[in-house]
Amino acid sequence: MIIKRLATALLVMFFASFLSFSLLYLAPGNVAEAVLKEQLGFEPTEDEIVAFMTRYKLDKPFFIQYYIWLRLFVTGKLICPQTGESVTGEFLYRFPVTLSLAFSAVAFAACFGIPLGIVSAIRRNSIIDSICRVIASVGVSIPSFWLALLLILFFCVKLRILPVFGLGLKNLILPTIALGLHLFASITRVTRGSMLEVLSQHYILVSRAKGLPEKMVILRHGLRNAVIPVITLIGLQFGHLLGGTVIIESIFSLPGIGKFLMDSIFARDYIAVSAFVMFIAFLFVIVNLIVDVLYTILDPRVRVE
Amino acid sequence: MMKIVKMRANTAMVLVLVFLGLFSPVISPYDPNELNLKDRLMHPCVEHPFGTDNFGRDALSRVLHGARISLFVAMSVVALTTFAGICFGIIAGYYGGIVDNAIMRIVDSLLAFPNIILAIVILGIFGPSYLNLVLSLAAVWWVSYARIVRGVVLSLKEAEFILSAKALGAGNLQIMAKHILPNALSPILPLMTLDLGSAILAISGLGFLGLGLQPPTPEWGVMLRDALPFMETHPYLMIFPGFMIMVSVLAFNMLGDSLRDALDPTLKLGSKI
Repeated sequence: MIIKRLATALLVMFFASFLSFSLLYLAPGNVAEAVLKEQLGFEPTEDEIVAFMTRYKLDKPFFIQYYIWLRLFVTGKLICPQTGESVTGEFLYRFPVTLSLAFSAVAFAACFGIPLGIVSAIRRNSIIDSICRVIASVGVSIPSFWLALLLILFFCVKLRILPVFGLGLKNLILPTIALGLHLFASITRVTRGSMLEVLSQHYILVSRAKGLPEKMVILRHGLRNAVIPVITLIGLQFGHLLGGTVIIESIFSLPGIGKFLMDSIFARDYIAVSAFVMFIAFLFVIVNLIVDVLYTILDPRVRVE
Repeated sequence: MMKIVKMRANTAMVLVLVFLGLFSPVISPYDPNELNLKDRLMHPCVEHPFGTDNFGRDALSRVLHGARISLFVAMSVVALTTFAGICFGIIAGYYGGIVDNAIMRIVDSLLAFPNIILAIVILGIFGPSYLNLVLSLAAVWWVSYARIVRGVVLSLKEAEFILSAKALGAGNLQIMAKHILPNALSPILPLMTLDLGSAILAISGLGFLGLGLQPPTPEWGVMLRDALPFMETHPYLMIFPGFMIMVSVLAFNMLGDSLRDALDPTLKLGSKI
């Protein structure tokens, strides 16, 4: 099963690379002209453009260019014209920022969402449950960028207790909340739903009948089974999270891959853009693989199939 | 009974939004793009309940027109997505084999892109415009529709009523359009409603990044972006558009959830009960 999953992942990556390169290839405007203009500081002549295109094999057909691009990308030799660094280097330099942001957002969402969902399910139809459900509905509807602005307005402008910009643990608090709220709301909701379903199963009745303490019933027998859809959700939502980092990193000026992607787009540096699209697709595929592996650990039934 | 009341309330919320969208030119007190530099950055008052922005445009009129624009673009996105998803889904499910395999591999690889990222990149490369905005969002979103429709088609293909239609001499196109399509609609209806909400979120997010609709369009995301420099002194310029985004997304999400519960009673989700 693992081998089949890996094969699919490889195929998906191949398609992704094709798509990324197609975007680069179809980009309007002449790359050679733009780059030369940047380097020379004045309009390049026709001959210079032709020479540049031959030198970088830009006059070759689509598939040959694609092959060259892919080879450069895989060997990490694709250079980003904006900074002169290799795109892999740029990525590795910025990746930790985005990774820590994404992880703290997931951690925030799970740490608050799962307990809230459990409480909501146990105390079904109580006031706590109603409050949780309102929080969950509103949470998925708040645009993250608006929430980010409101948080800045409240904590940085009105109360002045948190800094807006900079890189430190304190600076990660607001971006984490803004990015993680959507996931937090979905997790609360899914945990509540799957917990309700699990708690109505016979084995819960059995464990209560044999006299297990309620805490044990909920956490050991209930939660372990109820958490599987939550893992799926986190895996699926990870893509949204990566998309969200683009906006959140731009607002808080965090030097992560999302901010770099936006900067590259506005700088018309499409080589970096195409490479970063590849990296993001790659990340997403890896996360989904990890989720699949987690399944087999959490749910032994999957291994049998 | 509670369910019906809830569903009516949710429908009413969406209808209010649609009403605002349809009649915003009639009910808004000013022209949303009318510049009035004398009255710039006014605080909320009787003439301008939401204040005015840095060009002296009435914020209330702009927020009301925002409903029109957001709904229009969101509906375009969902219409295109649904159309493409249904076509590819039915073709993949009905013909099977190589066709199915090819379409499903494209679906898989598109799923490898976080949906907003591809839209950001497409808009960044090809330039922001209404058409590009709709196309870039639909380019990824049709995938989930195609998957669902394909599943429905696969389960229906061997059904007896399809066989009888075939025996009566119906052509492939006729079977797909007349016998399969109606059955595929009910599972995607909730998804369409939910996606209207997601589309509003995505459109305003892209507008906020400067990649969606462009100023001076009174779109909520664009208005938020324009309000950024005045956040400290005139916070309500960013509070109202954001609030409208939240309320409209909430309305569509809730309607979508109740539709899903109504159409698919076997599905157990948190929104139920």
